[in-house]
Amino acid sequence: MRSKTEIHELLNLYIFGALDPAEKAEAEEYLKNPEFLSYYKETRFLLDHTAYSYEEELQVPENIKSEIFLKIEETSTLADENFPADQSDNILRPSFFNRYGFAIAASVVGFLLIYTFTLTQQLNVQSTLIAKLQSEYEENHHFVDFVSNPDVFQIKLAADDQSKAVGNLAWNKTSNDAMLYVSNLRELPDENVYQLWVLHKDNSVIEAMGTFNVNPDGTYMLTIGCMPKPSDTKAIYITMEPEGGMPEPTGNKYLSGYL
Amino acid sequence: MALNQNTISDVDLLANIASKDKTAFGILYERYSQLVYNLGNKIVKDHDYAGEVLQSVFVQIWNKADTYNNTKGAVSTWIINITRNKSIDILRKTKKQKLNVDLDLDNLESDTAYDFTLSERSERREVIMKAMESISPEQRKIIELIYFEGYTHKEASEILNIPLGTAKTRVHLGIAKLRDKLSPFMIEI
Repeated sequence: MRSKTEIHELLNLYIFGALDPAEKAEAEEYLKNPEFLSYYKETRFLLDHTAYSYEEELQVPENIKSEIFLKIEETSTLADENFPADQSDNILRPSFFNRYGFAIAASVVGFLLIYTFTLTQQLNVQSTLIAKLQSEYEENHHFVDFVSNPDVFQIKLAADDQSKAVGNLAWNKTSNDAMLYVSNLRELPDENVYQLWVLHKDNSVIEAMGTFNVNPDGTYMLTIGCMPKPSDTKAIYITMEPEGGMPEPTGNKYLSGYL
Repeated sequence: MALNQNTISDVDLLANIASKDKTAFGILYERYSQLVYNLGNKIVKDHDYAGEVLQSVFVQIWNKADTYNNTKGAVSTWIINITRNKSIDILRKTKKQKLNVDLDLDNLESDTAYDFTLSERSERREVIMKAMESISPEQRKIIELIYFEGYTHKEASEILNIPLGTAKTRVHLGIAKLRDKLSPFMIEI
């Protein structure tokens, strides 16, 4: 039986990934106790905020602020274009004598504007569809090219629950590049993403390999440029995490595959 | 309504940013850009990439301010975590190094979150600086290498040319000292 101090020491080393598998399992048992879970979370908070000690090391380059504001300006402009401001104050008012003629003319112009707008919208939709199909074709072509390489092997990822979600990781064992294709995963709300993880053979390292959300049809293709060596890897899995991803897995597993 | 940049809380700033208030965004930038840039630089070890981290973190804050949930943690924690994740993404893309992440937190969800009792950022930074100065340079170095720079404890012990056992002792003693110094200024929220 460990003393409280020893348990704290164990949890400190747990945070730093410095435990062997048996000790790690023991630490996780202790984390089921609210008191030790609080200790763990408090320590993580404290360690996160030691980042303040670096705050004054370098001055932020002055141009970055204006670049950021330009970017958010672009975002706002796009939003404004989608929801134009009310222009009613700027409309010219017809005189008392020709208001009916003006009204008819205005109706015709309005109809023509709406008609033109509708046509433009349809054209935009068609253009978007063509671009999407072209992009999908290129993506699929790229995937076929990739898996045709004799150095590429594939790992099937299966759902941990009853869902029909599946995945396929094509992995080039020479270049350590990979392509992940998933299907039948449900689309996530904006505040969540799927995150791909690689578990090393000795269980001591879990590497974050990228985040994504699926297309409306539940599919997605992710290219990964820096996979570890297959010989060092035990498993691949996908979890759901908060938007932006997490440094370590916190959500449920959706797909997993083993080497 | 005009915002008082000295008194407005981080949480209120984010609420305003969620309504696309650029003044609030500018105030938050002044508060956190130094931290984000320097933490990013600590992780990616490159000034240009640190600039990329800073940009992407603040663009995400602008776009996602409405997803911040103050019951899950302080604004500073949220921003630090976004910074770590963005930095990790850049490291991953540039293949600079592997990342040490050891935890499987499936069963560790809880609503417990923490914040500092010190409302003044300058006071908070001073307390943290003093706490960091209270630990030995060796303890500080190993905490930095593993926690912020993404090395495994084995790699860190090799870099510092010390046995694994010594590395573990330094980690533990460093954390214990930091907790002693900082716990009095922390509060559960």
